[in-house]
Amino acid sequence: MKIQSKPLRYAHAEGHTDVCYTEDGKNIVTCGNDGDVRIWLDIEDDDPTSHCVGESALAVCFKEKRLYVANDNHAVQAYTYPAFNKDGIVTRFTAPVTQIKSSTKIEALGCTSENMEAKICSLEGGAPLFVMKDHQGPVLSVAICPHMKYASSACGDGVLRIYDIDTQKIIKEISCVPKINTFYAAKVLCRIDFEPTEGKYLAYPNNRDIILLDCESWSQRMVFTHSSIKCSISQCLFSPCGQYLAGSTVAGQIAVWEIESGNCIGIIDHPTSHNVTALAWNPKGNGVLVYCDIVGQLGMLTNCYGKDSSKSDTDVEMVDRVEDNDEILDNIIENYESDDDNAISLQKLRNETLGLDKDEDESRPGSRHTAQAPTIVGVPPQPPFQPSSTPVHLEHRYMCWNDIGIVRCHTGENGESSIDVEFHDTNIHHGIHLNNYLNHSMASLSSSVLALACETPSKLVCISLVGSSKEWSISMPDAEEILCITAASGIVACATNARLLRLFTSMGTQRQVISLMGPVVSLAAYNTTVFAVYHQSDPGVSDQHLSVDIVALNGRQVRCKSVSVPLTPGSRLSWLGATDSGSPCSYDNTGILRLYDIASGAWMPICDTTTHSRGASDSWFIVYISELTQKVRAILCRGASYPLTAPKPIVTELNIQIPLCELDSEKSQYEEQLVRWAHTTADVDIKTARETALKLFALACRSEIEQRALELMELLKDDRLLPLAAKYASRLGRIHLADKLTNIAQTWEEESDKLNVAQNSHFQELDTQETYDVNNTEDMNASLIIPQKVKQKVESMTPIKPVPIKCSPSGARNPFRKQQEATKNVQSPLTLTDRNLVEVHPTAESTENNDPLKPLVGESFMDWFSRNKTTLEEQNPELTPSELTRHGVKMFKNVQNKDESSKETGQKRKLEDSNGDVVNAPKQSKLSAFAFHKKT
Amino acid sequence: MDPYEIEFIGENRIISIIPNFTYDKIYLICGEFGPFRAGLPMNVPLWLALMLKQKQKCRIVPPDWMDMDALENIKEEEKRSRFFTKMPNEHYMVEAKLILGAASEDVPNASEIKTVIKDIWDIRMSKLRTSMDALMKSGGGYGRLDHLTMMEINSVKPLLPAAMDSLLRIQMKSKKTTPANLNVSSFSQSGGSSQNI
Repeated sequence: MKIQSKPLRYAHAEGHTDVCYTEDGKNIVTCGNDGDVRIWLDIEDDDPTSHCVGESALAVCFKEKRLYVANDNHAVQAYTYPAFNKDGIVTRFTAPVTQIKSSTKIEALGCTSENMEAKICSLEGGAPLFVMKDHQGPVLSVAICPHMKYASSACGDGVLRIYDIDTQKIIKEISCVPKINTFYAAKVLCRIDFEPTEGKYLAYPNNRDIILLDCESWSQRMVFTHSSIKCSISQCLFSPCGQYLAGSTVAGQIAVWEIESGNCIGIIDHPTSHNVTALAWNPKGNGVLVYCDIVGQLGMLTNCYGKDSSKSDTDVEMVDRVEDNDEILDNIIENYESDDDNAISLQKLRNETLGLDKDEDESRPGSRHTAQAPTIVGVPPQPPFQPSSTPVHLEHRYMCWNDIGIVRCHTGENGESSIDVEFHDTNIHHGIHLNNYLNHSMASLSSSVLALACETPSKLVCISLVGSSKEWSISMPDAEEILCITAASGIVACATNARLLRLFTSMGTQRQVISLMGPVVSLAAYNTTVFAVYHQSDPGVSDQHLSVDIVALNGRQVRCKSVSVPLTPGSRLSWLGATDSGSPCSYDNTGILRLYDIASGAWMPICDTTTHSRGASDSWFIVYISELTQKVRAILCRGASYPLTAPKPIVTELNIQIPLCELDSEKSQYEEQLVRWAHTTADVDIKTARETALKLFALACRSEIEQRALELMELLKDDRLLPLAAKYASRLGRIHLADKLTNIAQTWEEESDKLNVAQNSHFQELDTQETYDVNNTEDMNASLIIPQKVKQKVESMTPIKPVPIKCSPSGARNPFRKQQEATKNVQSPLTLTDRNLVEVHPTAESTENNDPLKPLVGESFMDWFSRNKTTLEEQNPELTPSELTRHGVKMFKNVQNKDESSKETGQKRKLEDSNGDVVNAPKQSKLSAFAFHKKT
Repeated sequence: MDPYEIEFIGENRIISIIPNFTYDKIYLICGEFGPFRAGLPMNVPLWLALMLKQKQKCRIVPPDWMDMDALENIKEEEKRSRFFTKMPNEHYMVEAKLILGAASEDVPNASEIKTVIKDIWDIRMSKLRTSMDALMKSGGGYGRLDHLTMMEINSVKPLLPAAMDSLLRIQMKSKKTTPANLNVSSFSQSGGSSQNI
């Protein structure tokens, strides 16, 4: 196989460049005319470590973990490797040092210089072992034989001298060096080399060929030449194994010969035909040769031994060695195996240890790679983390950033740290500054408490934010350490390494201890519910297997539900939190935000933050999610996954957007809005929702797919929309559709009568608003895209709960909770709103009901009729029973409609009021708003 | 016009702030702003922002152009061009002065920004002076300068018309003393620069 040349790369400025390998063959060291010494991992390495040693560096040599560099002080300076600290001067000259050379077996350095001296020095420095002073010109190169017997030097006076080191006398002189009076002008450097394994030969370039001298007799053993060599050979170098010889010419050609046969394995032309100034073989013996040229470039030749293996990396190298071993072993085994039957089959042993198949061919290199047994390595399980916090090792970090405020931790040089809390709304609390002498590393901020936790010895410290800022703390039992904490307005929770979830009230009463089914990953909380994410099993090949426990506390009751957490493949959870309506949300490090809809029990992707990033390395740090305003508050982090503390980052609001298909089309946009409003408790009024639904219906009508329009109306189940839709359809000329719609309307009315009866018997009592027991709501007629209706009905049937929509003046109720329910009841825009709202006030409305004929709230026709049958009979004595029934139906409808209309307007006003509740300040008339209230 | 008047006009510009209190929408004569939500950025007029800042109720977000790189670029442009280049906004000097004065801690590299803006101001003023000088020397009556901001124009307002007026009077006087030449009729009205002087 041919020698392959890798493309040249820039290494140094123009000028003489020297190269050498480190002893392990892993790094290439070059030095050049710019005075830098560069350490490269490979020729592909774009970022070599670079050290400046002076104005220019002419020679470099690596020996015994030290680098020897010829610096511009005319000295040979030793540096430690890889730290590159100065380690002493080996020897000094009075003129620039031209070469530093050593051999693997000897403990000395050969150094040559322009000042006509060549020295052999010991590695430590001190007095040189041998000084060759007979030169009459600049000494261009030196070589020492591996037995420390002979040394040879080539000098610019034209003579190559061979010395005997012991006697310090010249043994032989050969004229082969072109005469030159300075190293800098020398093209032919006449670099010579002794054969490194045994020192049998000395190779020196002589014009266009390389002459191999036998070291005993000093006679010419062989001459290496090649027909395509056009000019003088400047350097020659033996390979580390001594089998091959490389030579380079002034025109930059490099040729490799095999010593035994004298064949030239290959010759490579320099891409830019520059003079090669240095050659170095990789001491690993893998056939890799690096060279530098006069313009400072670095090149590499691979496969100089001409073997099958074409790559020069370690895998194949190992295989190479294995191959060698194979051959040797094969011989041994062949000799042994046939002899003894009882002997352990060496072949088998060899196969097992080397993992090779006996029948492998040389020509199938691919199968060799599977020789290493593959181990299935999965990803490591995700460690626990605090959501909305930055990494612990930072000097200034955020411990928690949510909608209440920001908790920062600053660590000083001496290890002391301080925590400072800044509230977004200064009316909640003034800023807090604490000395972190307990070394808290976790924090969570809620509207009622600041929770801090440290690791060993594990303690939970809470500072109350209401009232007089009292502080309470509690220590964990021995050997238990807190891994995550969270705090919400009604609860503080911490998860420990004993897989326990400990729950406390905000003022410090211990509530509960729950066992988690796996190591905890993160915690979040809302009001009195805690979401705990943990590993439900070991992670797979690329995915984490996470699951969340939703623990709802109400009074003394505890309810728990486990749900799996979906993640993007190969991603990890990077944030967990609750929205302002109490739905848990998860965010993974690929930027997808998912919301868990309690009613439906499904995780839905609600935002893909990567669509808002401008750069590839931008990521978003989630702060808070607000379902009411349908926005996600996040901080854009450029080039990092977390924001810096200074400058103070600005929170941006991103829209919640369900990733439906073709979102740039109108139809998809309406669909997205409807889906979003159905599954997240959005602060949207019914009118807007109805308009959107109607627009979608209009699009469906126009799309020629009448069935789709019909289907849509059936889906929405809003009887207010139905007449409007029918009108629109008939205006468009789709009479058929309009007819069908009116039919639907009638069927619904009949069904709803039956429905009311069914509902009353279905519903059971439920304690809390945060119950996730969806099984109760088996409303078959529930609209597909409005589960809110279901939830609402659930709440409405509980006699325990006071009427939510009416602005209750009682201040005893938790204002937050009231707001919650009010908003919950505000949306679900597409429900049979009137009927539901009417149901909500069973007791209240009944007192207004004086007229017996007036149907009671929620009463079905049958009940009303049976109740008022006698009255009706009295009123209309002439009617037959069937006629009476029909009359009754008509009356019932009329009266109810009147009720509805009046109630509806009443409701509408009430809705507006409750909307006003949601916003903090009371609604004022526009004019009074001009008055600037001093309180702010 | 007084510089204070120009400052007053400039204060009406919208900038972004982060309030630390929560309040709903406010309805002002110039428009409605809000609702104010603690921790979230919103846009208000500059005068309102300054007032809130002084009461420590908000944090001012420096406008986009108030950044070292952008300003350096503007400065280089200004140096290179013979004419005036477009400034980031009409009242950059007013905004810079007010924001850097009241909220310098909210602006990163406040002192360097001050220096760069001052440099830009100096370059533009010197250009203005040379151009006025050229106008006077050439005796022309009409000049056109684009992209001047109100403050810069106002700085030459007292001087330029008065100077041209005196020049005109001198010219007229000298014309009167020379024998009346019927051909000499048209006095180019000293119009000044094309923008509101």
